[in-house]
Amino acid sequence: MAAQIRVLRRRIRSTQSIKKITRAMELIATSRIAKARARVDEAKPYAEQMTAVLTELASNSALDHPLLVEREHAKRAAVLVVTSDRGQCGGYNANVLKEAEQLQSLLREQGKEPVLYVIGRKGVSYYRFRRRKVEASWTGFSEQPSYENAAEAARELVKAFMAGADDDGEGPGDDGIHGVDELHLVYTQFKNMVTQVPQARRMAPMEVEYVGDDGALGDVASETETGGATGTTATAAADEPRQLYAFEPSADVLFDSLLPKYIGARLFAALLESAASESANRQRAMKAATDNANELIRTLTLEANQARQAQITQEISEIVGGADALVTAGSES
Amino acid sequence: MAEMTVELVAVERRLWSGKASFVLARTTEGELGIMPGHEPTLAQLEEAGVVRIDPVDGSPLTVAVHGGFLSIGPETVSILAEFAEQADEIDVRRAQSALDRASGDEPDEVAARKRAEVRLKAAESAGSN
Repeated sequence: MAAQIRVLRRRIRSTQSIKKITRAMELIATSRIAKARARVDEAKPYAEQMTAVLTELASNSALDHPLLVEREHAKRAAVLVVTSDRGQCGGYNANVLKEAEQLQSLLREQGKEPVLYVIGRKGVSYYRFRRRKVEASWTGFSEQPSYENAAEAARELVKAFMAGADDDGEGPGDDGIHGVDELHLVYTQFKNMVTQVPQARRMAPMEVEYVGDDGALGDVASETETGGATGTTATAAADEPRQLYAFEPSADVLFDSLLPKYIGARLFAALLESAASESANRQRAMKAATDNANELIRTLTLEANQARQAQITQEISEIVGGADALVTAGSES
Repeated sequence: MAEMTVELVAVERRLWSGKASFVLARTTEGELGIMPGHEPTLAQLEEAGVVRIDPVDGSPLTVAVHGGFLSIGPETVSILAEFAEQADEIDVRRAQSALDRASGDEPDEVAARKRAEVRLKAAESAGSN
């Protein structure tokens, strides 16, 4: 009996210390969400200005940049998966990885070979466990990404994409590097505190859409949703009177140097959203864990008290029984 | 005095925005001084360069800009940068030590050296104003 109480007390204690940990993680995640969302907002002006400038350039330059041209025989497609570095965040990683698997099987159906690029330790260990080849990976910044992290990954991806331009069917082309023909990104979109949706997007080749009737009005470089029917657009107003811009250096050169930066900026935005989503998921998971711990502590305390009561009752009846026995023994002698 | 709206936007945040009477920047083609009413222009800035903004009120602003673009509209000037730091945010000692460290010829080191040089230049020219 005493042993049972001891075991129960021990369980209560350990549950309490687990609860302290999950509660702390919950609070940290809560504050991180706010910070991550603020960063998403802070990064917006740049993205907007960038889109405006690109829009302007698109109508003034020949749209033959490799990043814009659809390749006829796309053989290999890079898939960049954004996961978290740490666990304890519910279904966050599982959802992203599932979306990535779907995208990969879709690409295979289209006759393209997916090439994996991974951000976040969880994704890396997922693919390592399954012995799948990962072309490159970056870790250690999933919760607080900086632009430098995004730029590094973007550089690598754009390099692979550019190298893929001269690939012939089977092997690498003249430059000896086996590049890729498409860039896809799988990340988690932060819709609001309760909804975060894994998204697969195509980053390159970008699509140029002609908005407006005569085609000369507003052109927008955008990403298309992979697999989905409609593309997402960063649309520009089509009806404003056009400004005639001077370019320094020429529009084509500008365009060429801006597009890779644009990819970097898009990737950075995706990393920020993923970070916010990760924190939101972790906050929810940890809240559930804390609630469960509370519930467990409540039932265990109840059980422990019952056991203690039973023990006391038993002790009393033992004493009474003992006294009775003594009395009987005394009267007999 | 004529004025224009100037926005200095880095990838991670908006650094500065307000009314200004003059902006000085160095593009890949050469130095560019912008006053209100400038011809609409899109320009690529030097990979690492110093930009000076003269606000309508207040003292001139010196900023180290890395990987920047410049877009001049009818009444607005936007400076887009991958990284940007205002001169008073720059840690001169750190930039100096970064400069001393990056002495090799590797592309990384050359880039780091350029960044450090620009930081020092921005801090210096801000100090002399």
